[in-house]
Amino acid sequence: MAEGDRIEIDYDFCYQSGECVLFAPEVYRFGDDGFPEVVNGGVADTPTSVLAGTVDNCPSGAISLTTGGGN
Amino acid sequence: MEGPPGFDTITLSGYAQVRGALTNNDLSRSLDYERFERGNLKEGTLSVLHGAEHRERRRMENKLFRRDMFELYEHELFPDVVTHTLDSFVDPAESDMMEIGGLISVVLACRTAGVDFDWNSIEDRQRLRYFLHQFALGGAIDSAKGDPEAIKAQMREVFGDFRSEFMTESRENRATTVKRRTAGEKVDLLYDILTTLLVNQPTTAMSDDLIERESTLFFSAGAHTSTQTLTNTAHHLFEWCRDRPEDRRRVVEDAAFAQRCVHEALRVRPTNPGILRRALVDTEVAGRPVAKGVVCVLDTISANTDPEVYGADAHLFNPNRDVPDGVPPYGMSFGAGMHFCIGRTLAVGLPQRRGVAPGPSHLYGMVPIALQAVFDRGVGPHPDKPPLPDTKTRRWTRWLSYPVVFNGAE
Repeated sequence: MAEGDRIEIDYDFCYQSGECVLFAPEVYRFGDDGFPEVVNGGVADTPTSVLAGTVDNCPSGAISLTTGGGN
Repeated sequence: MEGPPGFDTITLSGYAQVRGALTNNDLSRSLDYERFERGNLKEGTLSVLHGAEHRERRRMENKLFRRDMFELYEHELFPDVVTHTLDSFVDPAESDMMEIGGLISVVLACRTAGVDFDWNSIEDRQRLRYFLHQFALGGAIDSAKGDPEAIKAQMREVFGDFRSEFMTESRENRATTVKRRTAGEKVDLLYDILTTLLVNQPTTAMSDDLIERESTLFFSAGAHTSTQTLTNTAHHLFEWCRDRPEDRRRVVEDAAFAQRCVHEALRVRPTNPGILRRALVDTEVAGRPVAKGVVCVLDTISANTDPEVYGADAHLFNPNRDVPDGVPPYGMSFGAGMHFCIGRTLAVGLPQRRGVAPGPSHLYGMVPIALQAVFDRGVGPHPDKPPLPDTKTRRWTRWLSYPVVFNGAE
C-alpha cells in the first residue's frame, strides 16, 4: 500500500452484494447491520492494487479509494 | 456448456477460476458488438457496458436498490402480489410453475422497471409473460441456438409491440411528470428505473429509445430469472421431500429454511450454467493464461459444486448444507464483481449468516415468499404431464413449462 491510502464506502449506493468482503476479507467485513465496513488496519496492510480491485469490482460503485498520492 | 460458434473458446471450471474470471476486468461481457448487440435490444444497455461507463450507469440506477425499498417490497408488496395472484389467476387444481412464477414476477419487474399495466387484468399479465419469454431470447442472444440476425429481427418486432402496448405510454407519462417537477411543481416522482433515467436524461443524454430498452431489460432480466428459480427450487424440493415429507411443512412454516432451499437450488441449478466473457487483452485467470479475443465459458455448475468449497456431496441439493463463512450459498449464480446481479436482494434476499438465526430485519426475497405460498397450497409435480426444458437456448437449466397439481393446504 502507499502511505495515506484511504477507502470510503458510500452507503447511499451500497446494496450489500458482499463482493468487497469476498474480494478482500482482510479489508472489509460485514457489520452487525449487514453492510460492509472497513477492518481496522486492513487498508494499511493491503497493496494499493488490491484496494483498487475492490473499487473496480464493487457492483454498486459505492467504494472509492484515495491513494497516498492524492488521486 | 458450449460457447457460441465462431470464437476461439476455453472453458474455465471450478470455484477459483470462475470467480477469478468474473472479477477480472480484462474480461468483458460484450462478446461481439456487430453480431450480438448492434440492432439488438441490449445495445448500449447496462448489461454490456464495461469499466467507467458501467460504473456511472450503475451508480445512477443503484439509488433505487436501497434498504427502505427492499423492506417496502418485502413486507408490503410481495405478500399481496403472491396471494392476489394465486387467488385470482391460478387454477386451484392444476397449473404450471413457469406460469405461476411469471404471473407473480412480472408485477415486481414492472414496478422496478417502470412499466404501467393493470395488475388486476389477467390479459395484461399473460401478455407481459409473453414479452418476458421473448425478451429472454434477445437478452441471452449469445447463448441462443439459431441465427443471431434472425433473433435480432424477431426482437425488434416484439419490442415494437411491447412499446406500443406498454412502454412508450409509461415513458411519456413519467416524462410529463418529470417536466412538471423540473418546472417547480410539487409532484411526486415514481420510484423506478424509467423515472430515474428520465430525471438524469439531461446529464446522460441517453436517447428515449435507449431509455426504453434499458428499462425493458430490467423488466425482462428480473422476472425471467425469478420465474426459473422458483421453478428450479420446486423441482428439487419435490424430489427432496419424497424421502422427507415433513420438510414440505417446514418450507411453509420456516422462512429461513425456504430461503435456504432457494439458495441451494440456485447453486446446483443456476439459471445460466455457462456465463460468457471475452478477453479484451492478454490476461490470466487463476494462473491460467487467456489470450486477447478468446471467449471464456465459465462453467458455473462446476464452480457451484466445487467439492473443495461446498463439500464432497456438493453436487447434491441439500438445504441443510453447512456453507463455510465467506462463501456465497448460491455460488456464482448471480455472477461476481462489477456485474454482480443488481436484483439479487429483491429476488432471493440476503445470505444468512452461518450458525445465526435470521433476525427481524433479515430480507428473504420474493422467490422464497412465493415458494412458501405454493407449498402451502400443496403443490406437487403433475402425474401425467412431464416438465419441458427450454430447447431454444444453450442454457440447459431453463424450463419452458413445469406442470403441477395442488392438493389443498398442507
